[in-house]
Amino acid sequence: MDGIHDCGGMDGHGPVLPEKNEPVFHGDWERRMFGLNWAIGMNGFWNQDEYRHAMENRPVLDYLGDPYYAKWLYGVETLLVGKGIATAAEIAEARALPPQKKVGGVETPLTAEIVPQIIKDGFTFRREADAKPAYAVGDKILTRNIFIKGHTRLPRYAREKIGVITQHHGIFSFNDSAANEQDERPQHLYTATFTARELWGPEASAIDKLNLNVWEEHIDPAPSGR
Amino acid sequence: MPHDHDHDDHSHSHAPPEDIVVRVKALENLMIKKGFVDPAAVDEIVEHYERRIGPHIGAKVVARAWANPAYKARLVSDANAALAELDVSRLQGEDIVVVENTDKIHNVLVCTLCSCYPWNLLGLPPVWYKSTPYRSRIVKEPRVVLKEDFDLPVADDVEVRVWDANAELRYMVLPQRPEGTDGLSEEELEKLVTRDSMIGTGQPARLTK
Repeated sequence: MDGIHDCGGMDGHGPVLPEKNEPVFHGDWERRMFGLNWAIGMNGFWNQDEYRHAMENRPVLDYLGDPYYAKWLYGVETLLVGKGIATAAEIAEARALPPQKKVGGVETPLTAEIVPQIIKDGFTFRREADAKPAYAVGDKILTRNIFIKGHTRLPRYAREKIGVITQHHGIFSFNDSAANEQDERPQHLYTATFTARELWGPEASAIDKLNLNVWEEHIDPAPSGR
Repeated sequence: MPHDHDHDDHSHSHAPPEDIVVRVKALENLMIKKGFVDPAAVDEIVEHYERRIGPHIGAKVVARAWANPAYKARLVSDANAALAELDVSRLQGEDIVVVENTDKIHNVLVCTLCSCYPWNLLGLPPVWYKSTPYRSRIVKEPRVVLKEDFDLPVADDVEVRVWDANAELRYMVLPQRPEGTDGLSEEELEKLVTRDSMIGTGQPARLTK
């Protein structure tokens, strides 16, 4: 979706405000939300791309107004209700719950014991598949002019632009279809390099470049002459 | 709420609406009650990212690359294998690409769509990295942002390369080794590597006499 999250190239957002000696978390609610996201996510109720879409799919002013981890809170609450894991009424009524203890006899998917192993191994999105790559380093490509209601990783600023394939990364899960169709549709992933002038016009730097990952469903060969 | 960190000349508040604090507590209690969450697991993962994983890991990698040309060659050609040599963890950095700054190239990282960042090398991202001012502007006017917002002017003849992390690859900038550091050990070099130098919004620290 062409939401506020896809903000690359917008003007008017103001200065960047780095904070000196910034702590990792600014309050206990951030700590809990950070950890909860992993603990809940490990239940497998949704995939990470559905979750990203849940965070971005909301009114512009709400997105801009929330502190960062409140976006996570919104995404999790939305998916819990949307997937039928909890009702909106349960979530509202939970405000009155006293602090809870872990339910006895239930093995949760994320335990303290397995956290170190998960951090060590991660979850790669590299996939095995037979497909041959359709592009090679050096090929000129044209990004598609797509408008998807759901989630897409092709940002607005990079649509219908000429770029050059500069890296080939092998086969990865496709985040767009994973979010929108719960189908990973693994395909070759590349880095496409765009000149600053292709993206931002003739006043941009003559030498600067931007690198973006593109999946095969995001691109076509550049038309001859471009 | 304790507020023991200081700010630049800007004032901005991280105090959330009380409603958000209440909602997070409610969410945790509901998830525990339903048997989906063990609060000890939440404690454990928070502990790792608050206390153990941070930019000191990336700094160690950078210092090794500065000190050892063969390691640097491996790091920029096959980062995953090179990071495995140093036992770097992989969560949110499962597939890393290291991009090297030179006299003619300055690299800078962003995730315009959300907040993707190499957690395994740099820890969790700072708020500014996740903010729309940075995400919106660094792709379009990187030289202006670097100069005005980060006091890092880039010379006209140096190419700026922006890397927008829109897939599951994560990037790290390998900054240039500062001049005058020939005699330093890896441990001493590590101390010069700043977080922002590995994002591309800063330089390594200068030697203090």
